Amino acid sequence: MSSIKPLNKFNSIFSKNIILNDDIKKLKQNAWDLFNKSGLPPSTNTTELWKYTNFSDLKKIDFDNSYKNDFLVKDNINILKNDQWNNIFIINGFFDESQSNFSNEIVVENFSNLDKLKYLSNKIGSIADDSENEFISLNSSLMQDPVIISINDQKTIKNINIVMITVDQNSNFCNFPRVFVKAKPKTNSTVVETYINLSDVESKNLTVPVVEYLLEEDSKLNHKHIQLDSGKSFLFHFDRILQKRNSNFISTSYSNAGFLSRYDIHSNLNGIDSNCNFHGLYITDKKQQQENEISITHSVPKCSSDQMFKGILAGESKAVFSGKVLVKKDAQKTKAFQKDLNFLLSKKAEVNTKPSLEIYADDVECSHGATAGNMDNSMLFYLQSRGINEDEATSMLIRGFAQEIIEEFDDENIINFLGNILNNTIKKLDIEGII
Amino acid sequence: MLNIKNLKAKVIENDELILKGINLSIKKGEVHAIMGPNGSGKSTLANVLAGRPDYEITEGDVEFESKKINDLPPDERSHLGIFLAFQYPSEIPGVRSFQMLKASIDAKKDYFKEKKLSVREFSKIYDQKVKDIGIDIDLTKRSLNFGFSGGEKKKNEILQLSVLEPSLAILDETDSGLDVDALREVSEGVNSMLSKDRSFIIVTHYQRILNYITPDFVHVLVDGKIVKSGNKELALDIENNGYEKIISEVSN
Amino acid sequence: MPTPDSISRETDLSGIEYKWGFSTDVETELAPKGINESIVRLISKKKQEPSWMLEWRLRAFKHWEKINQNHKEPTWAKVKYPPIDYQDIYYYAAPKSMTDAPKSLDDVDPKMLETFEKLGIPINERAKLAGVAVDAVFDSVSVANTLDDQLKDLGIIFCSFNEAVKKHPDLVKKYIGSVVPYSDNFFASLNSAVFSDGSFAYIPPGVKCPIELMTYFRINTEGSGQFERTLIIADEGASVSYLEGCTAPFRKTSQLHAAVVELIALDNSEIKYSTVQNWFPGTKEGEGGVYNFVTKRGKASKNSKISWTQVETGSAITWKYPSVILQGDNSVGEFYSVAMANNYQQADTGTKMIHIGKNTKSTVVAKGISAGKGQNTYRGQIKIMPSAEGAMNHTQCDSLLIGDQCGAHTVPYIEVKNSSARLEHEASTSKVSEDQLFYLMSRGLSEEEANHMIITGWSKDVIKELPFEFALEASQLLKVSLEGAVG
Repeated sequence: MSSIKPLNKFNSIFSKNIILNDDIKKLKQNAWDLFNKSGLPPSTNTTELWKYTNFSDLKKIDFDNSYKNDFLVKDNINILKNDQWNNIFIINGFFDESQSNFSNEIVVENFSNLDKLKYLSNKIGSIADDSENEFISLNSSLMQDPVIISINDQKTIKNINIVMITVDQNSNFCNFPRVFVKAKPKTNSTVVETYINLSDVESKNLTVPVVEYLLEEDSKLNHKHIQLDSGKSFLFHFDRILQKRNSNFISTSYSNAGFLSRYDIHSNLNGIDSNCNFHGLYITDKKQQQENEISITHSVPKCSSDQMFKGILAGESKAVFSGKVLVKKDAQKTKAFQKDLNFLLSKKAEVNTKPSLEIYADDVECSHGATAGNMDNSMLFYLQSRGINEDEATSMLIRGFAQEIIEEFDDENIINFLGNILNNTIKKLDIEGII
Repeated sequence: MLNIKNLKAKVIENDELILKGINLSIKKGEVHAIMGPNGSGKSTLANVLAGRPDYEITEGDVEFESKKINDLPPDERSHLGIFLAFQYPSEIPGVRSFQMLKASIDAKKDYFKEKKLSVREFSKIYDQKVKDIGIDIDLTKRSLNFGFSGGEKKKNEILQLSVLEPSLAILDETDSGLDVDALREVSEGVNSMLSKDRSFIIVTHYQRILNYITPDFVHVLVDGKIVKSGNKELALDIENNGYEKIISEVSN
Repeated sequence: MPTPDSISRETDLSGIEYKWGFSTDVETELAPKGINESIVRLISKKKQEPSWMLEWRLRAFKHWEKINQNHKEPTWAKVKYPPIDYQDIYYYAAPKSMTDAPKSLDDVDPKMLETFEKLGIPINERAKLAGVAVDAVFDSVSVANTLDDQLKDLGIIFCSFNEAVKKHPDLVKKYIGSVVPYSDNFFASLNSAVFSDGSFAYIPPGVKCPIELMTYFRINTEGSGQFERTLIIADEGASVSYLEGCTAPFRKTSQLHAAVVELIALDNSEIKYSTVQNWFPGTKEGEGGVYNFVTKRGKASKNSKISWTQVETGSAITWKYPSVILQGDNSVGEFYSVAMANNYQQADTGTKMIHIGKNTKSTVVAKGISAGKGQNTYRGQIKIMPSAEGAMNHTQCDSLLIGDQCGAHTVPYIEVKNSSARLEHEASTSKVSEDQLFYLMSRGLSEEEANHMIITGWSKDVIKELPFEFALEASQLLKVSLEGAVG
């Protein structure tokens, strides 16, 4: 049948799946049925969710998930490792025990814990809904080694470092990392969620991580998201968060775009007095496209949320920002703010931003704003009149624009690490024709 | 004209009791100063008298012109002649001073089933008052209190006072944030309003406004109660010795 | 050949707060319900149109038939309504006395003149005194036009669309569908096939129209669809201010209104288009009301300016996005809107500003008020095309919520394809501030008055854009439409 044709590329992967347990089998089969029904999203402008996404390149590729497991953590990512931290490495979709180290304050479970499988299948998919998004159901069908991380009661845990690495030899490689993080009541923890693509630069591989966060009562989770793409690959990264009473999810994000990359966050504020913040910086260049889809649902009263994203756009790149706040009828005393600020550095760069509010409660304070603009010439002149050359002044202004978000990472190691990456990225940006 | 009997009031949002039994009687034409340290309940008293809905009277009575006003909405209190000059006047976009005052006067006339003033009649009064108070005419063309300096906001409050001609004017920390010149100008505005038919309650932390406006009585409010009353000398005593002295006197 | 029948009825008005809800007992000529090719031909024939106009209608009808089979109506707007049976609508309703067009006001059915008098619309001597020229449209048919000699001397054309088709075919032929093609969208196609009448204005080069041009639309007949079409052309260096007002009687059944407005601003010209839309909003229980699906768009040439101002208090459903295509360099587009959704009203309204020319500028100020069970959505698109070097947009959209049963939604699309553009979008949603309320009440205003004053003040940025008489009416309308929502 012609209607299923585009799915063939994933069909063979699904049929090769190792299924260890009836519960998991059911979960995967349900997800697969859903994905079969929907298929990959249609192309640009047909659905609101993928209004600006062009899937034609993705649809040309026949993906495969076989790879050679000969990867070693090399010097270039050692910086992501810190002996003081809990390091959890997920390489090509599989938990890598040999690279990982963590204290007994957290519990890590995966498919190798056969006896725990039942427990595991209860969690996975309880927050990320397969019917909500085509790629979530694809992940659920094709995930091979879901990992559950539990942060024990009343503990303060320094960085839990989840590193998802895509590294392959085949250019049509795909992988589906899946993580579930459970912050038990009264915990205070920091989770660094890093995705890094170390593949050959020409490789157009596909990575679809889905990370579920459950924040129990009175828990606080500092979330730091780092996306370091190769600039050539496809990435659809999902964070799905459920927050209970008086919980706090503070997220800061840095993204170097892929060929087509999407950072897709939903948080459901489901217990009163909860708060979530999503601040992020994204940088796009060449023909890359970065999408940020942030959706916050205020289901109960007295919660607050704050979104602020900043984009730096160069080359012929595109950025898409879609920030949605839904305030349900009972969610009185809601405070919700969103902002998307874009810095356009090249004539051919393009930004589509849609900060939307959907509000059904009256006692609320909500606002949003979006701007797009280019280099401010008077500032540039000011710096130049103080003896700084044009290039340096330009990069100074770009860094200045980015700095606010970088500093929110609030960790010296990470700030330095990202600062260097940012500097290198800015140096290479195609900003011709701007001034 | 105003009789406050054992008045207790709380903040509705957090149930915190602020006024803990206030007794105060004010006759026609008297000027009363209410002084007290920060958090003593002075501003709460001013706001409760004007009927701010954030507070609830839990006990006691407020009688104004022999009428119990505990449950009257703020607009009706205004009609009856109570005026509060706000410590922080609200900024209201798109509404101009003239427009608001005309509407207030109309509502009052309506309330007493009197004939309304025409726009022309009211303009005459309004323009004269603006001139008397010495407000920049440009300010009156802007949205109410929008982009006004602290002094301009307070002067604007006095303009409203002079237009509305209440029988009881409550000035809530009108002196705060004013420099000497602005304080003098505002005080002159108030003094011009003194009359045997009009009473004043001046809520203040500092004595300095009382150098300009002479009170007949001074009351010291501490922790929601009037702990000491006296005449003008009491205010000077506070100026010289601070509130500490009175607080320790009372607790002994 | 279908036989037209005529209807007349009275509606009980007791207990209705919509004061424009009376109906007028005039004899109406109706074509049979339903739409098909012969109805389109009938309408064209009734209007004694030239063949090119009929051909255009038929092309539009064929296109509409096709989309009606495939995707039907657009579904992206945040409005809900039962399916519309397009075969259960009268596509032609005209006051019988209009069958032979009146030569002067003296020939107009006095009942209709009375209607407009009752609505406060000056269509006789008062028009001149009020300094406006009025085109009064009754059930989509222009019944009175008060263009005076002064305008004629200046070469200004202001007449019914029908008359323009006959008397100024070159202008109509050149510009009809040039901004809103008949294939633009479902409702525009439908309108293009069956439009009955509407207004036409042409301002010759260099002429500043000295008075306001005004069209007053009135729906009367029950069960009839309303499909007017307006075309306004400001030739090079010309300027005009145009007003549009709308009311409809109280009816428990819903009425479809699908209008098209096209504005053409040639080089250095200026068109200001103001609307006070007060179609019947339906009962408090959500019965009846006008479904207002309107396509309004202007095309701005070099150095020209198009400004839309709308106060939308009526209609059960509003689906309307007055837009500007900023094609010429340095052209300016403006959109000022206050939209109210009370009781069961649903409004999905906003604008599109398409920047094509260099240094084009647009300003959007949209205020939405939701009360009762109303749902109000601002939907807007700012699109900066690669050619629009130095384009600028500022958008401010604010929502007020009154009561906890309503909804306020903001959906802006900002699409920038040129890096030299500067855009700012700001939006806020809140309820009426309790501090402001208390402040005004402590000055003696009742809660209702205080609310009204705050809301009017809050809407001022939009209302001040309206011509003076309209501004007063708009402010009054906001007050009336809000009755019962506060307090």
